[in-house]
Amino acid sequence: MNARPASLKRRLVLWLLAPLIGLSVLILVHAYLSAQEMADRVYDRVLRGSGLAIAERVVVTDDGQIDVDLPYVALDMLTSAAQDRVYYRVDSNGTLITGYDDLPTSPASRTLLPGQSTVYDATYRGAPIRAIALAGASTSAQKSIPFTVYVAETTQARQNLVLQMLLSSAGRLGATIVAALLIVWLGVNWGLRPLARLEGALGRRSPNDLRSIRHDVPREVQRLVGAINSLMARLAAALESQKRFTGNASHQLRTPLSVVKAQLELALREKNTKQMRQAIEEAQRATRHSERLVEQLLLLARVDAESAAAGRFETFNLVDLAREITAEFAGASPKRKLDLGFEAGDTPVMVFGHRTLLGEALKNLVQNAMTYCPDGARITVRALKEGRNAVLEVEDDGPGIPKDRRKEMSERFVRLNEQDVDGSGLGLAIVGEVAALHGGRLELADAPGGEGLSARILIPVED
Amino acid sequence: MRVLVVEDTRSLAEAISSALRGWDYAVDVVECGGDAEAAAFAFPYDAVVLDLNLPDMDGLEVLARIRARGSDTPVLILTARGTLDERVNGLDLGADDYLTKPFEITELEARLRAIIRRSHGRKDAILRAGKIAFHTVHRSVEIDEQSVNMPRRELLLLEALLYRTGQIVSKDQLAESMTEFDGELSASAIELYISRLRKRLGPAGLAIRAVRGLGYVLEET
Repeated sequence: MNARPASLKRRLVLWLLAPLIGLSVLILVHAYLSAQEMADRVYDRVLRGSGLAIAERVVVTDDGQIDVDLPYVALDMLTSAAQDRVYYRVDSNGTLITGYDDLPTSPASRTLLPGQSTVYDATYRGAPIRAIALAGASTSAQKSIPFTVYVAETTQARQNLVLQMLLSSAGRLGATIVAALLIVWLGVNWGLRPLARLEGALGRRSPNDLRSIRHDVPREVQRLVGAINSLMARLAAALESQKRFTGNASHQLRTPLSVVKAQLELALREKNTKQMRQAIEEAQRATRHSERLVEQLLLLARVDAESAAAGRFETFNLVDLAREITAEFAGASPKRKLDLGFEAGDTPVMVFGHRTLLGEALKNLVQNAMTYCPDGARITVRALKEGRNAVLEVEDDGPGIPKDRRKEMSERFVRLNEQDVDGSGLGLAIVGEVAALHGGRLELADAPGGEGLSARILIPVED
Repeated sequence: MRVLVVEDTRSLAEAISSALRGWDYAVDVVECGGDAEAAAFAFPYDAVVLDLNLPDMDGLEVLARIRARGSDTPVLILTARGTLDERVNGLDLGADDYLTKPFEITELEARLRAIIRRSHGRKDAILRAGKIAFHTVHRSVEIDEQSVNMPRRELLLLEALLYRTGQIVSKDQLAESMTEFDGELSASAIELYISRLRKRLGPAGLAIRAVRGLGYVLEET
């Protein structure tokens, strides 16, 4: 039961069957009771008739004795009914006049006044019996003598009648239940037919077909289909972006490789050493570019993997990280006279995050600033807390990024200048994705001086 | 031979063009689809080398636009993607050949020669007329199986005429097939080269006939 998913049909049938059976039991109990009551009423009347017939024949003899001239026809009325046995007894003041002496009486029957009668159940000779006691008084000229007539019969016929009625009730109920189940079964089958068609259509689809489902489905299923459609749309978008990324990545990787191959081939053909050298330098530049690109792609893959795993987060001081990274770059290009500086307050800025990836993101920002700023530019790295955010900031006084292009800069393979062959087009995309991994974002703004760019990684922190 | 190279990675474009110039081809480089479309319309290129990934539009779009203008200049596509779908799509749009990055320069050159030959209805790498044989691969000329040394410009003129033997080729066409964007070749210069060529071709059983107001026809005598 646990392994198999619940079937709708089975569930519906069970839901229907349980109350139906419960109800049927109640109905059958009621039917049994009323059948018994009816059987008793019918048979008791006959019983009473027999009793009365006997009572009529009780006479007081001339010698003042009581006597019965038993009318066998009266008893025949009973025995003809079924295979039941009939017993009788007539007594007067507790003295048997005729019949079965040991026929059980009932407490009520022993205190009957003439004209009264009582019906009771008892057991006689090992079988259940139904008996009637009628009290009467036989009157002669001299005196009136009270007597009681008992007539009893076994209850076979009654039980048969009850059973018969019960069986016929049960039969009708059973037929109703079976019919109801059949209707539900067929109804569910019929009702689920649009789903089966949908299933067939989806099954025949190629895995690349992510168009939305346009089948006619019952209103109850429309929301499900809507949810599936929206999932498909998202899937298609994700696939499309994945495809675009792969296409882009392959272009980005193959182009510098083409340059390397072409330039080296040219160098081999070249007899002029100066031009040969130039070609080789071009090839080397392209190699460096590919190397950087591969590094960035791997980093990107790592961000993707981390966001899937979301492990390896730790609590650390952002100020320490920013200081370390800035120090790494401090002596990088002495010729360019870049003024790279670090600013932070005395209080640590604690974050719960991925230290390595945040470090790489910051490196990307610093590297960007160093690559795109002119010689002598001033670059400042900051780590601070601002409201509910921890902030890693790299501010420069370089050329900046035009306002209208800032948004697209965090997309993969977008470069501010297409001719910029050294940029991988991934730097800011990586920073953005690392920020997103931490629930934060990358913010590009004008530097406070108006000149240059302020790139900020905002990470929400709890107070 | 004049080739248009459409490639936005400058160092690759430079590598391709310097290789082609080594074959005495005239090479124009443009870096975006818009320029490519304009250039292809303005000059009679013998072939176009087209990168698919351009900053302003997809290379296939450029191809479609060039073809929509009725140009049948052979086009060699450079692509990094190179999935089957894409190649089929490109070929259906009228590309003549495909080369996947990274490629060998020699292969690019060979394919370029092949599509240029095909565009003139030729399969052989050697162009023949009269007793002359022009090897398009080594760019050498033989007359009566004797190797002949020819100056660069004359060689280019001969090649252009040989590809169109029996057809009228205008002076402008000849001039433009030998210059690049920044160069210029006057009609009188063409006339000068033609007269020099005539002298060389006489013994080979070939004549260059001037058709007044239209241009020149290379004919067997």
